[in-house]
Amino acid sequence: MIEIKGLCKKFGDQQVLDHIDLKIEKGKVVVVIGPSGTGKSTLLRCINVLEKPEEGHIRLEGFEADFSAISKQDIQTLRSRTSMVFQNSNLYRNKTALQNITTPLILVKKIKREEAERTGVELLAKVGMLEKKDAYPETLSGGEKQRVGIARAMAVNPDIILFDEPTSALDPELVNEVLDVIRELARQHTTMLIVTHEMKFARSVADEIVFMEGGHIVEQAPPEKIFSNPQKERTRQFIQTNME
Amino acid sequence: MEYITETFLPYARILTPLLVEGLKITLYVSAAAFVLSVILGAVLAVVQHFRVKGFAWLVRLYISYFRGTPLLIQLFLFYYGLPMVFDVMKQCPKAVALIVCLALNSAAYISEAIRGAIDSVDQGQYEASLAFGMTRYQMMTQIVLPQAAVAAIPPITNSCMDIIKMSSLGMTIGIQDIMGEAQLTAATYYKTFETYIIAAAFYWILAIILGKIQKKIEKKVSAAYRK
Repeated sequence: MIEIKGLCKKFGDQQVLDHIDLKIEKGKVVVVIGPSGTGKSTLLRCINVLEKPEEGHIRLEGFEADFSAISKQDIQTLRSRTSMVFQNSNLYRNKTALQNITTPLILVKKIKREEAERTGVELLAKVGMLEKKDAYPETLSGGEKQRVGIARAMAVNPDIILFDEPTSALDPELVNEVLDVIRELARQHTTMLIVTHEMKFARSVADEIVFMEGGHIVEQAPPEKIFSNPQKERTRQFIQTNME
Repeated sequence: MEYITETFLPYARILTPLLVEGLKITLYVSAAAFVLSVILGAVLAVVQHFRVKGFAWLVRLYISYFRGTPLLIQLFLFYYGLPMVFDVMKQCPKAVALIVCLALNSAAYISEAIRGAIDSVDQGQYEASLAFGMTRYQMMTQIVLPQAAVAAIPPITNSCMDIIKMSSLGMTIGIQDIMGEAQLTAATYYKTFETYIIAAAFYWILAIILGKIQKKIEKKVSAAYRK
């Protein structure tokens, strides 16, 4: 479970996130949709403090922090209990696929190398990347990088995995291999918060859809409701233009 | 032809062992100065990169001074000037003075090279390190600096060559390196041309060897980034 209350973030004078409240139950998949530049990615980046919010509370199981007075220790805890899949994968360029997974385990989780490698191999097999375990990111396709990125995010055994537009930077023919991996995670009840522009995927994978605009949550509901019977006019417009 | 066999070669046989003695000093001084300057340069670069409060301007001043004044003046100031002010400096051995000056001077250049290389590392690499809970130290030593090394190696090798060549200024404070031995021998035998052409060959060969080492290291560290 992860709960956010009253999250606010400004860039200069612009209020990017305006008192966001969001609760994600354990094992659920929440997908955030909305027009570009409405703070969807910023929301994710605030959760692991890549951006520091001015205000707001966050609660995980047995952990609570106030962003306006968050300590280094709390930031560290938040980061080690959440993980992120980036739009551009951001795999460590100087590490092989396997090392990308084992490095955070060894450095941050203090897990022994052999054990970390066992976990790494297992997860690479899960995302269908085992035969590329010794390949460097430079030699992988965009889809392959994302799959390794997902394995890396799973490896740290986080409370929640944050997906920041995981397919936006991919060639169209590579999108599905990545979405399939995420679908599989959803089937296994991995807690996930996903920002995406892939509407069909959002509809099929989400337990809850959050429609965001202008730093606000406009509407939040299960996918059938958002897609077939949205309550707000703005949501309806957005769904209509994006489903065509 | 007669000049070669009658004059040049016999003299070369006398000079070469002396220059080999000098070579040992050159290598020792240069290696020490190089190691120190890389360490100091990396520290200065990181201080600059993170704009560490209270230190960043000091580093800029440091770099400005050591790049803006001749090494020879820096050396004279250190070896002849400071002992006038601080008594302890009178105990400072020549070689130490030269090593320190070379290191301080080169660190200014190397820190700029490393800083540029660090800046060339993609911002996403920092985020991916922090997002998974690495400390800044882990992020720099495990992810950022290894990637920066690729871009930093050519200018750092240049600095290393510069150190070897600049170490010849040690002659001016009486150090018997390649240059020091050459100058002494040339004066003894009145053979300026022969002496310096052989001494030049010594430096040149060192530079060629260094170039080969650079190629090897480059190949190794860039292995991860080849398609």
